[in-house]
Amino acid sequence: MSKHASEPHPPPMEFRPGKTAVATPVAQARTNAELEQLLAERTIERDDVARDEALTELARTNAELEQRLAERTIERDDVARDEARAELARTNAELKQRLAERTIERDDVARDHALAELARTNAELKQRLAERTIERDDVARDDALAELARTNAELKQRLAERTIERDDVARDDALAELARTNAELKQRLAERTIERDDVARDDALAELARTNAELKERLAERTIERDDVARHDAQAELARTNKAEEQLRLHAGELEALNAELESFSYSVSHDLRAPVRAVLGYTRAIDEDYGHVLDEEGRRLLAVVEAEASRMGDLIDDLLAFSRLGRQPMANIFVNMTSLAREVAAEQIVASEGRSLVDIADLPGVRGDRVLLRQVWVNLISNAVKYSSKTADPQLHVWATREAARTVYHVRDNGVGFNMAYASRLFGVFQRLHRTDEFPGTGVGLAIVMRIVQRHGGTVWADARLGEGATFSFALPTGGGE
Amino acid sequence: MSDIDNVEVLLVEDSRHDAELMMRALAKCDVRSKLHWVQDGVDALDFIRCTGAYDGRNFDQRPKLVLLDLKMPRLNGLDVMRELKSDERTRTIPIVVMTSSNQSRDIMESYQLGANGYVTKPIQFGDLSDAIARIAAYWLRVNQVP
Amino acid sequence: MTTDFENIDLLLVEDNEHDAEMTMRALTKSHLLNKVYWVRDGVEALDFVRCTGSFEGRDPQRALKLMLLDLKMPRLGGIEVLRELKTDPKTIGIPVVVMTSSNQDRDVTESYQLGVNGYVTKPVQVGSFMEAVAEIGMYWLLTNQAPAR
Repeated sequence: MSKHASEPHPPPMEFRPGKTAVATPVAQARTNAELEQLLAERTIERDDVARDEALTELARTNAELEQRLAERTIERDDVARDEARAELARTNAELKQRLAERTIERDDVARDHALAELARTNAELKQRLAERTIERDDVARDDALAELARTNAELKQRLAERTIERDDVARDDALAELARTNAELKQRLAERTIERDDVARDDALAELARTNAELKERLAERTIERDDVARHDAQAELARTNKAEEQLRLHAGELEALNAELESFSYSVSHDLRAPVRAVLGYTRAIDEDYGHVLDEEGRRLLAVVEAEASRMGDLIDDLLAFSRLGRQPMANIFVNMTSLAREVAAEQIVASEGRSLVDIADLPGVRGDRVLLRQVWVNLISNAVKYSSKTADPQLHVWATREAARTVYHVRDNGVGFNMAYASRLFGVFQRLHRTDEFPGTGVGLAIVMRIVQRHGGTVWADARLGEGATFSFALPTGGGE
Repeated sequence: MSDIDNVEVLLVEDSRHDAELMMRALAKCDVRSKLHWVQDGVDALDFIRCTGAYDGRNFDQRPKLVLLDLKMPRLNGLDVMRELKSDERTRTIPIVVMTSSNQSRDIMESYQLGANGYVTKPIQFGDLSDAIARIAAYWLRVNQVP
Repeated sequence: MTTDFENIDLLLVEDNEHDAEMTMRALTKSHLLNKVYWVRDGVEALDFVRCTGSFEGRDPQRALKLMLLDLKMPRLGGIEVLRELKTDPKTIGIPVVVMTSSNQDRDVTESYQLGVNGYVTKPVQVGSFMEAVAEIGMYWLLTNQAPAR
């Protein structure tokens, strides 16, 4: 306690041990703990809820960053804080001691309290400020320390001037001054806190943004890779399809050329082959009619052979033509009433062959297809049935159909001479016959024609027979329709 | 009466053998008809129009039937048809195409040009005879011409 | 006579029902009756061929092999029908034989000018009539070839 000589003596300050704020390590520790507590609370108070959420959000999505940030902060804190604490503690203690010695507010409890409070807050704020400032950078810390030093010096000065000690006005001024400094420090603390939070958040955001960018880049690379692969695949596929298309086009072109060839071939056959055959047939008939009477039996027999063979040749040509034309005609796709068609054909065949057959045709389901072609199927199957029953005592012809899930099966059964099932595989081949021509006439193309037509309708044909008992020919057609 | 008067059937056929067979078949019919045979299209037109080699023939003596083959040298059957059917003086003469071809293309084209009928020549002589008989019965006995 | 008009070979266009009956009797004898359809005037004849009017929705499964066409009919006469058919490329291929009581030269000439395929005057005598119809049927339905559809 020093006394200013020129001033009147203030009443001596009662020494009250409880009131002296001599900084003891324990007291200091308690104050620091309090300050830290207040600091923690204040920090929480000051943060915007939003900022908290942002930080929490950032922490959630980027735990590592927060960790590192915290670690860094903690690292720096520990060292600097210790130093600051030491320094501040010392200053604090000094200030407090001097304040206590000066007994600024001996009688005024409130002022005492206020000063103490302010001083405490001051110190607290300084502390926090110091901490904040130190965390960030040296310059700021230097500033803060300089500031503190200045305030310190100011306070010291005031103390030295003893205006604070003696004078209420001075004391008020001092209060005001402290309050102002307090407020200022609070402000700066607030700013610093915001800044620090901002910085922290900015750092975190920057870090996130960087990571984000990195991830985006990697994703882009991956996407490009994937797209490249996909594009490669697509290109390969396209090339493959193009090649296949090209080949198809080539094939189609070849087929067209082949078709045109076949068509001109069959036209030739139709005209140029038939004429000479007609001539042979006509002239042998003429010989027979005009000169048959001068030939002996052998001569007439020889002539008959010529006529028969030429006739067979004519049938073959006509049947072959019909068969070859099958693949090239456009096929109609209309609803065909199979009952009326089969009955019509049967009636014609019976009349034409002067047959004695009993004909029984059940109601048949209709089907979509080409009526003209399907008519040919019935003609061939029914005429066969009639033909191969011509030597049977009581010939019977039955036609019926069975429905299946996706197809209708039509059956033609006769009780004629039948055939050996061992040879069934040859049945539908062109020119394949299972009976001798002298037994039963025919070219062996009829069934091949049937098979071709049925196949064009998307169906199948087969036969079942027993020698001497008869045969059943069946053909199935899809109920949905042909090609 | 000369060979070319009162001709009822004009046979236009380039094949000698086909012509002979057809004439033979016709002769067997109940229908007695006078037939004249020409071997190509130019002669056919000359006959009908009474020009060229047939200059002097009586135009009003029109055949009741022309049996026309399609594939012939010089002028083919369709050209003959076109010529005769586009001229109103000769349009009314019945022309029946009688040919080896049964190609639908030929059939349709013949009718488009105005053919009155179309018959495919059968290979079998019996069938040919029957066809000729029916042709004769209809065209020479039943059908009426102006 | 069939009621299945999808599979007709011969269309008889005749307004006189006695004549129609006679014609069909004659065709029966030649086993050709199941493919004959009878209409009574020109409008019906054209509707039948074109699948219009009373024959809307007819789905012809085969082309006509012959139309026997009377000339004197109510509503639309035979000459008009003939003209319609022979000026349309879609129907020019249908063989048309006029079968009529008239043997007027004018009618005959006009018919041929319009492109009729044949012309028959109905014989008065029944026997001749039956024979004529049989021969008509045999030639046009069995020997002659008409364009398919």
